[in-house]
Amino acid sequence: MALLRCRPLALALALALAMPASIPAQAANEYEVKAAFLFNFTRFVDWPQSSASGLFCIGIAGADPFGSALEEAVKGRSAGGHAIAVKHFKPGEESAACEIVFISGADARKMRAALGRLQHAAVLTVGEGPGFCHSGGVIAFEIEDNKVRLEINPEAAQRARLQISSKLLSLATLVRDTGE
Amino acid sequence: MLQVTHRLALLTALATAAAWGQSSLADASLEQLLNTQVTSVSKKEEKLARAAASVFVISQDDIRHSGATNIPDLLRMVPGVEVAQINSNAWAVTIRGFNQRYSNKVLVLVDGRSVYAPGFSGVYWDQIDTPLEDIERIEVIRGPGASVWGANAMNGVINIITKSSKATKGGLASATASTQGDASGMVRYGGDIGADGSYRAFAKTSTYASSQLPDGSPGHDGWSSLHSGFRSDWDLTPADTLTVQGDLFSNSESELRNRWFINEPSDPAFAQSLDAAGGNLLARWTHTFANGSDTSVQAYYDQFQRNDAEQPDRERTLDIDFHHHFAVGSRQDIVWGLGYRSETTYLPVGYEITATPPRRVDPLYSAFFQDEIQIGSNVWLTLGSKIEKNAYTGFEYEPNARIAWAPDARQTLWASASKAIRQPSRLETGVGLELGSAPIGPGLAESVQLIPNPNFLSEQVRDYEVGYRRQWNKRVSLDADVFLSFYRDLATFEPQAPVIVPGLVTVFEIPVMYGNKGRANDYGGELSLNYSVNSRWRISPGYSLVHINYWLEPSSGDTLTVSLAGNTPRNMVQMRSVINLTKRLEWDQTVYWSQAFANGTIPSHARVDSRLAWKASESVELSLTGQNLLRPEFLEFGDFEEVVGTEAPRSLIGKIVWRF
Repeated sequence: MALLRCRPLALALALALAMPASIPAQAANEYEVKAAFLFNFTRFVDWPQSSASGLFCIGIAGADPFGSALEEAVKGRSAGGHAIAVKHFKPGEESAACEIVFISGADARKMRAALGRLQHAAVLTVGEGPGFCHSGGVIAFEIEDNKVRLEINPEAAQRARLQISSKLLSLATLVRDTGE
Repeated sequence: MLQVTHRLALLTALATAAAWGQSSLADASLEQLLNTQVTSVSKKEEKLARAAASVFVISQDDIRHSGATNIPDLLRMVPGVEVAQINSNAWAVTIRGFNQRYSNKVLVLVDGRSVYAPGFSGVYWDQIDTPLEDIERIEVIRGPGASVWGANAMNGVINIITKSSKATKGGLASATASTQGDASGMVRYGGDIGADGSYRAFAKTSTYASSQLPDGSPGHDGWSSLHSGFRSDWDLTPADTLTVQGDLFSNSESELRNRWFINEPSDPAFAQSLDAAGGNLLARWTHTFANGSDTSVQAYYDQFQRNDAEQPDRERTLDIDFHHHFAVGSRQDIVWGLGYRSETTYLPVGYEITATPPRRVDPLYSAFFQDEIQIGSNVWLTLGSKIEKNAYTGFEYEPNARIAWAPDARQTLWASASKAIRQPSRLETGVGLELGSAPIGPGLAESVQLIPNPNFLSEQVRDYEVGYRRQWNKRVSLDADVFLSFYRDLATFEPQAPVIVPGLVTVFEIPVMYGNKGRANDYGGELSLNYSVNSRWRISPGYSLVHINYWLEPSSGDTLTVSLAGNTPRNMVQMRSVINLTKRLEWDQTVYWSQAFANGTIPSHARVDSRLAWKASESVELSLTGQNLLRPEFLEFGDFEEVVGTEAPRSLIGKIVWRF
């Protein structure tokens, strides 16, 4: 009896040890998915004029939570016929020369300051957390049940003269400024 | 229909991701991305990843996989923490050396309540019996944590943090039984109170069988414990939370003791029972202001009594703490706080000790300030200090400076410099203790008397550390640090001029007084690795080194502490393996290896534990854990003062957990 009991276990162990080392994890890293969204937005948003520098720029303001995920996501890809460049900005130095600026959600005060500076520029501001769109940001990522959800503030998009496709709008929760 | 599409999309996303690797996520459609499961790092973890201190977190997952049945056994997995069982109800637990039953250089907190007893400077681990299922995590900080937590956080801090009652709704019952004869049962139930509150309450009973001495004779260290407690959490408003929690416990224990600290072989050891009972009540209120700053006020009352014939101990603590956290500009994050504590220690006369005065009420006033300054985009400088006024040595300050550089989100290099103290206790300043007595001739006896030193100073350490943390990819991460610590004013036993006390028997008395003439320079380091071999198998190796160079000032006559300082192995190795055999079957291994104690009293040894768990259904889990599998029994620490050390036995523990 003891022997019989042991067998499935021994078998299971043998299987566990023989398993290939590279079974992909079932869940993706949050920021790899967010990086993929940033690239995807280039296909669903129209900017008022095409880039002057001939490059499509995705900027990251302040702390960079992506690691190398964003560079990997845009490597060898283009947006509207332009090669994509990833730039990093120190807080307070966000540039309106970028088409997309990602503002990390770590510090609410910094986030609002950056949004204030980019308010009237033709920039797709992307951030995280519930306060971002309410504070005038265009698109915010939210995590719900371990999945990424989108929030869009259409008024903010209008101010930035951005055309967001109805498809993207239909997949997001629409929110308004709270006037803060 | 929508459901189906989503599921299909998810499958496609996963399949695509699996086929093309990570970068293919960029090719996924918006719908696929919206349906991809993500793993995220919480703010807390993010902050931990760039903490400029040596931190190890034991998660609830680690707790479950360890198969441990008590908190000291759980701490074995932390590199740098030394856990040695003295007998079945007493442990010696320390961080980075100086191990003894009352390890006085490590502060232990349960949900912000200090369980470091100021009477004898140490932790009664038999009184900390938080149900392991209720623990959210245990944070172990190696190295001084004094700038925030204050005195006695000299070599480290162990923070036991329980789950919010919001996370423990419903019922849970668990039962364990071991081949040694240990058994325990626990019932917990939790639920909502109105729309904004939740609660849980538990009751737990345990009995532990007596273990053996190395010669096979009974160790007389069996014990039993009754423990109940509750926790309640409220969202008073969106900006205010309130937590109220408390415990009651009662232990009935026994132990084998020698008559004297300096024992003659002719004095046989004897069994003695002791009872310990106590309780605590804690309330914490936090408020978040509109500008993002937050503040908390916490108060607790804790009392216990140990009816130990040799050294009875009754303590009461009332503690009030206030914290305020706010940002100045965009680059500074400030936390400051104020605290007041009243410690009542009543040490009645035991057959060996006499405290003068027996009862003392000592106030402790404290304040701390900490400023985290961001320099550039990826450097954080933290400056802070605690200032305390205690009843023994007056004002003490415990400053630190820490710097962290995170060149990217996956790696951090940090360095710290800090000063910390260990506050004098009743033991050194007010307790007389007869260490040994023996006849040395007709009508003549010798007696060694430990006498208190009211001028005993705080022990001090200056500590310097450098560490590196790195997450290479989803599968491999590393956390390493090295430290250099300079101790001074460490406690010593200084012999005084002998006194002849005439009487029926003339006693030749050798007084020994507490002194501060110990010095030490330590160096060492800790290393933790995490490697996910594949999605089902994770291994976590760990290693620690502590080299203690202890010496006495030339004027010291001490002969005891040199050996006590050697109760620590220089090298320790940990290896944990977690395998999810199937969705329902887990198989976990832990191997701990410890070099011989530096003083040679305990030889090098390895401990192997193994756990097999089967999730029979969504609500029932069965597990079988083998502890100490390599040897039938093993002496881990030996005697501590008068308490005779018994052997940690090999045992098989069966456990059933039922959620309802």
